Amino acid sequence: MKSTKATLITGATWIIAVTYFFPVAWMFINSFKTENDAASLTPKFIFTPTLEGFSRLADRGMVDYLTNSLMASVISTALVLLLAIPAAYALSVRPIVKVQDALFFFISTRFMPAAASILPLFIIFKNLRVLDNIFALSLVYAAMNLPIAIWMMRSFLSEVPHEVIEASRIDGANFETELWSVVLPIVLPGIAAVALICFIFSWNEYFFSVLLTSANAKTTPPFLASFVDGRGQFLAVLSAASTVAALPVILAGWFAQKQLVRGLAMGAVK
Amino acid sequence: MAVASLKNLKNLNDGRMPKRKKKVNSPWGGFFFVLPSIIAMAIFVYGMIGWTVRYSFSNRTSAWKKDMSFAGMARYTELLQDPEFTHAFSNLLKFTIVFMIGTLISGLIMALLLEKGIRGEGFFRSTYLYPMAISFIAMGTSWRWLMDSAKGDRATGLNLIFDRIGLGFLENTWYTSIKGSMFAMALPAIWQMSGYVMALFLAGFRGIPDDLREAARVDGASEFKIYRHILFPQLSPTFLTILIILGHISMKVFDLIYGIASKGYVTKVLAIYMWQVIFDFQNYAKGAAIAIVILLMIAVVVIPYLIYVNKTEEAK
Repeated sequence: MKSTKATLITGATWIIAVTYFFPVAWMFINSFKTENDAASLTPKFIFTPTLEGFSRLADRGMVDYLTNSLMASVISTALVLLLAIPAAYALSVRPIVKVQDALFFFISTRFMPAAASILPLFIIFKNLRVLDNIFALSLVYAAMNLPIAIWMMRSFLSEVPHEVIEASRIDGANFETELWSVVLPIVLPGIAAVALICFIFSWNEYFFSVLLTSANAKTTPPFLASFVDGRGQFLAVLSAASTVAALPVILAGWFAQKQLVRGLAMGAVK
Repeated sequence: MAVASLKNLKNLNDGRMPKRKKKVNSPWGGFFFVLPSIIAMAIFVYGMIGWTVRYSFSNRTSAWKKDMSFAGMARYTELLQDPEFTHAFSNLLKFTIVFMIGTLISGLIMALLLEKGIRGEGFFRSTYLYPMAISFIAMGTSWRWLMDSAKGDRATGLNLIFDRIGLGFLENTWYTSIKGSMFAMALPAIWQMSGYVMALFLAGFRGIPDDLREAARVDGASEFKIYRHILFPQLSPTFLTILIILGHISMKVFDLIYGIASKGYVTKVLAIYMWQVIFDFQNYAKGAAIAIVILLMIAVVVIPYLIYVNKTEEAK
């Protein structure tokens, strides 16, 4: 009786997992097909794999868009960490007055819709002549990810055992030593999780990018979306593009699973 | 926010309750660490929102004619008479309801399945969570194929599966017909977010001390009763958090719909309509008014919640 129930639970978990994985797996499979195989009405699971789709992407200049995405994600993530780590530190290890109010303020900004800031941003960008500039876009991404980074970072910092910090203070550690050689090593996995989440959110971002960039600084998501209108055609090449775009996330999930899961679970307030 | 429930996420891995943190000295020392971030966010979010509000009350109904004179509520009353706006609004409400209920139920089922600690829990947890991390613009490819509207001999994706397993009557036009479009659109959204709901529920379950269950079991309560009368009541803050987070994600929805159906009429929601009005029709003032409507819909739900959470946190 008991084992039947356990089997049922395991079975259900597997069915959900396979169903969940299917859309991504299908995209992956299609990316190695020829257009004819991909367009076949009966889904083909056996076919001769080809890299044709990927090479056609390179012809369309996808490498440039990927480079832009990489730049925007790396710059914005670095900037976010630079601001978020000290801020979170001040809010946890050395709490300032009104910690709750500051946190409340940060998290409230995270709930606000990007739609409500896009018009002024666009006009400012236009007037400052920084439309289509990857650095300007990175600034926007940094601002977009800052509140959640502070929030996550603070949560990780609060887990640092208080005794460790007390001990270092008794040993006469000054502020910098306390931060750099006592606290930071402990929260390094936390920082990795924050960085990963900021990177992924910037990497996937579409709303700001499609508007604030065009030829030079365009990132991968707007490039992908430019395919959307051609319905049903180019399934193979589009799958290849989507696979390439999703690859960093899938790889991150592989190598830094723990950080990713934790970061995702905390970072949902998009 | 989420403060209470998100704190619980720590329990996901180690099962321990977080330690209460002691207050430390030097109250102003860290202030200058926080200040840059506060200023940045104040300008980037609230500054821009204020500016958008100003536009929404103006006569700047085109990009080139820079008429910022005060127009009162004119843009908002225009919206009420605009059938396309009401269409997008009701689409958004339909989407929100289906998305929230669907995600809540499937997330809860996942959490209940994993809650007892089955073998390979970590693997399932990440499999359920990862759709959240993949760009929806990218996933649009697969979902368009899955929800292709062709039927019968020309069917692909889900329609083909229904056809083959003898459930042909389930074949439908998915997001392409006005009747069911928003219900179909909720499907990928549920796929994307239910793992997150699972994580929150799982953390909630793990945060409940085992003694409670044990005690109930000793008293002879059935598994169902334990959930119904002991575990679920403990999770009401988690429920609230989930509803708020899903609700605000739903109001903002853009990528997900755009990635599948672009700016198509049948699946148009407020964010997509706003986009068209501002950048395709170049009507800045009207677009700003739509943005403010989205903002208000979120604020009505989120602000009371944040204040409530903030107060309960301070009281601790």
